[in-house]
Amino acid sequence: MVLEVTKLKQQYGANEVLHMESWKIGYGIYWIQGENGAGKSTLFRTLAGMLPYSGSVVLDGKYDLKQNQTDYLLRLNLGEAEPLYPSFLTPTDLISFVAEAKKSPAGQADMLIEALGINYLKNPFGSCSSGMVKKVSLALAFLGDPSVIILDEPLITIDQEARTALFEIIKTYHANGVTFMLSSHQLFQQEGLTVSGSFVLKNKSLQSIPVL
Amino acid sequence: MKTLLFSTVSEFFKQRAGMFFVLIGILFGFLSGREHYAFASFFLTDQFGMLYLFVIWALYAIFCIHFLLNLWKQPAYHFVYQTRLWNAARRFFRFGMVTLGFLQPLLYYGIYMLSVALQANLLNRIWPVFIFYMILIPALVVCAEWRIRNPRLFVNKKQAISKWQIPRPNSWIYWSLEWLMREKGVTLLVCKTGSAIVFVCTLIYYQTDTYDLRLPAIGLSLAYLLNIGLSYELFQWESVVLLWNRSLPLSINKRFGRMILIHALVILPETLICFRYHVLTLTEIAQLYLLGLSILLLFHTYLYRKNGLLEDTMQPVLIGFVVLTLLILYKIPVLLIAVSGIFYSWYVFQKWYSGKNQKN
Repeated sequence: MVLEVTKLKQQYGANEVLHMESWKIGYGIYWIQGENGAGKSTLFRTLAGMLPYSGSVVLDGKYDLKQNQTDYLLRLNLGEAEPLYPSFLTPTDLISFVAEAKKSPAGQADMLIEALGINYLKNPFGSCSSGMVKKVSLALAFLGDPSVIILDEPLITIDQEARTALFEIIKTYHANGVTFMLSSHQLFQQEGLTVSGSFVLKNKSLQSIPVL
Repeated sequence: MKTLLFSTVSEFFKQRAGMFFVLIGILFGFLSGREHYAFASFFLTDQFGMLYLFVIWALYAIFCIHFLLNLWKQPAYHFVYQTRLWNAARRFFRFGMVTLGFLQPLLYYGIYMLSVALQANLLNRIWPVFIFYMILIPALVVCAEWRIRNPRLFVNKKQAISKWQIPRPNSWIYWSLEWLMREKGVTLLVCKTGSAIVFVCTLIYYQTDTYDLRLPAIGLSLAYLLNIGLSYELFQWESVVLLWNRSLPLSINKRFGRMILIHALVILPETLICFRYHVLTLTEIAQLYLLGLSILLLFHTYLYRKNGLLEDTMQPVLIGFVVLTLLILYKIPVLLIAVSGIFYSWYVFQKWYSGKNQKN
């Protein structure tokens, strides 16, 4: 199994948001659905190690998020739905910082920058539109050598060229063994992606639904 | 009126916090009261003293005008042009209040000079100060008026004074400090000023008689504790502003090390004041510095347990300080307390950072 979740609980104060007894996925591209506020972003943030949780999350059958945090986070990347970065930083600052942390191979960052059309590398985020910030967040999500990439609403605010480039990158990475978890209110199939499975986040847990 | 003050004057002090921080450090940390008095006396008695003072004040006023003119060009400040709808009297009065906000440091220094003039029987030499106010205040008002009569609504974001730019270091520590300076300037100023004042008071009191290390240990602990506002902001920076950073592959120990380093840097400026007073040895300063560091680390670590709810941490801070005072009074070595505090915060950080305290 690529990703295995057991007895995962997540709560904000007294409000329980996630309660997943057991959930696992193998290699593939998975579409995660759910209505607004269902907890998709919270689930993704939890899987990305951004929020404290109870339970167990294991990657590639051996990397436990709590026990082997560094190894785990080296292999799981998250592109957030509505990324926010400090207004004084520039895309160059952030991309080079994350590339170093994720041990990105030489040339990878430049490839992503060119593919996604990030031609505003020296502009502080404070002067970037939401689409410009989103493209940087997508580039960050592909840095390093991940085995799972989670993209939370990857299509919002980006232009058509970036959208086309994004699907090409997803196909290339997937062909190289990367598993994707995609959340979107739009369909992916017309973009040529073969979705392995679909899940809906309902009643604090992921439930399998037929692939459309 | 309130909106204008908050959006313009507060923004000025926020964005220029770094500069004021350094100035306060120099003025209250390294210049003694006697030296301040000597400066004021010089301005009052020297043949060109008042001229020098006017040049300094004029430079500060130009600095404020430059800021104001540029700030009101920003797209977020287009609302300011609504002030043209006010009648002239109201507009001049309100711009006058904004000006007084900008010139606060000059007003305070003027009051200080007045008190020095009173003490030294030099009241007949103070009158130029009021002339300076009468020149500088209208100058700022006129510039504000000029800006709203000459709106410039297009700003070239790539415009820079020089094409040569220093690249920003690829360092989390640097970014964190830059964020504190840029975005949390007021908190930085308040915390550092408060801490510096308690430091100076403690050190002055310490040299009035023969005391052992317990006195500065309690006084400086309180001073260091005044940095919890900054520690809280650093928690917010990591947990809210750049939460995504938590998904980067860094070991817990490295994250803890980063936490130590950044807090060590944050409390360094006031620690340097100790060297100005020559009442503590280097070993004693190092012990007290470590004690301050351990206090802040314990507080910061506790924020992870409480998920950053500041109100939940206030009671433990108070109780903690009382316990610390008792430990110091009962002659537990300061170094032992400091090292134990750092070790304990490292131990609990392992659990609280990744939520291991939550039941599996």
